[in-house]
Amino acid sequence: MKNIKAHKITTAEADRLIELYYEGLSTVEEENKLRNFLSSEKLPSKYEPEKAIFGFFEKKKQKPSFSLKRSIQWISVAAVVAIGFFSIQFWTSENINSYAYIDGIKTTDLTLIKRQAIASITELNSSGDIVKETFQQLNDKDIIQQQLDLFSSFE
Amino acid sequence: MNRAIKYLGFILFFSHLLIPTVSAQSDLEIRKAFDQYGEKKGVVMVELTNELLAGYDFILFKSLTIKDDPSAANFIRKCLAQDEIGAKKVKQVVKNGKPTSIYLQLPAKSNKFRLILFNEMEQPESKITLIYIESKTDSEDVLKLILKKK
Repeated sequence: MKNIKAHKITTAEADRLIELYYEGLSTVEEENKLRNFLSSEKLPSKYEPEKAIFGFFEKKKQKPSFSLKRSIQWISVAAVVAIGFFSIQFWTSENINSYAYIDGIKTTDLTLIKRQAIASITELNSSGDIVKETFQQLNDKDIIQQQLDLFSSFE
Repeated sequence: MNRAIKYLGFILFFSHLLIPTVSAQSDLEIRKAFDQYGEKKGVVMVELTNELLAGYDFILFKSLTIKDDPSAANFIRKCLAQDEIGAKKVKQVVKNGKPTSIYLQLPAKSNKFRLILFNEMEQPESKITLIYIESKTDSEDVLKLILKKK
């Protein structure tokens, strides 16, 4: 606020500074004084052209304000890029997603992965043998004979 | 430009967060077994995506083969006890009071038929096999095909 007050000038002084400004002889400090003077709301209409000139420069200095339209545009661009990124990732991921860890070491060799997968299926089927063995034991005539012999020994 | 990078960053970050929830396996307890034992020594973990295996087109085939680790079998059995809720038990073999073989047909999710197959073998060596399958066609057909393979 002090600075603004320090830069306060009279209309006569302002006219002199405008003249210097148009002639290209004004200093930075003088231009600042003039800018402050022109930023005042109650000014005679004769200063309108100068206000417009300085107003233009002031606008350029202002921070860009939030624009919903611009944000939507950026979001759309970002979404398109993201969709593109994930599409590429999806279409190229078919083989990348196939992998195996053998003793903690990762491999992406598809032949080896498939061999390991088949091996796990084969391992799984070994449980079928347990069921078969149990049935075989039930049908084993020797076991029945042995059991009958056991009872006959009590006679 | 900075704003664009910021938005892109947000979208990529949240998309990556969403990806794991897409997997039909994410709601299953056996996922923990794959996570916990998959990269350990003496373990073979396989993950096949959209590949032809044993003459069958699987969406996802995951298997875990663990050697000489009885605690892993107990852990998997606990996971399966949770996953079998709402599932159809196709097969179960109990040995010495412990289920050593369990085949589960899970309810289909996102048009994917799902199967969990577990087997624990003690002879000739201690070995655990856990398989998780996702397929487009009925899991019963997949099961028949797998059981036929020897």
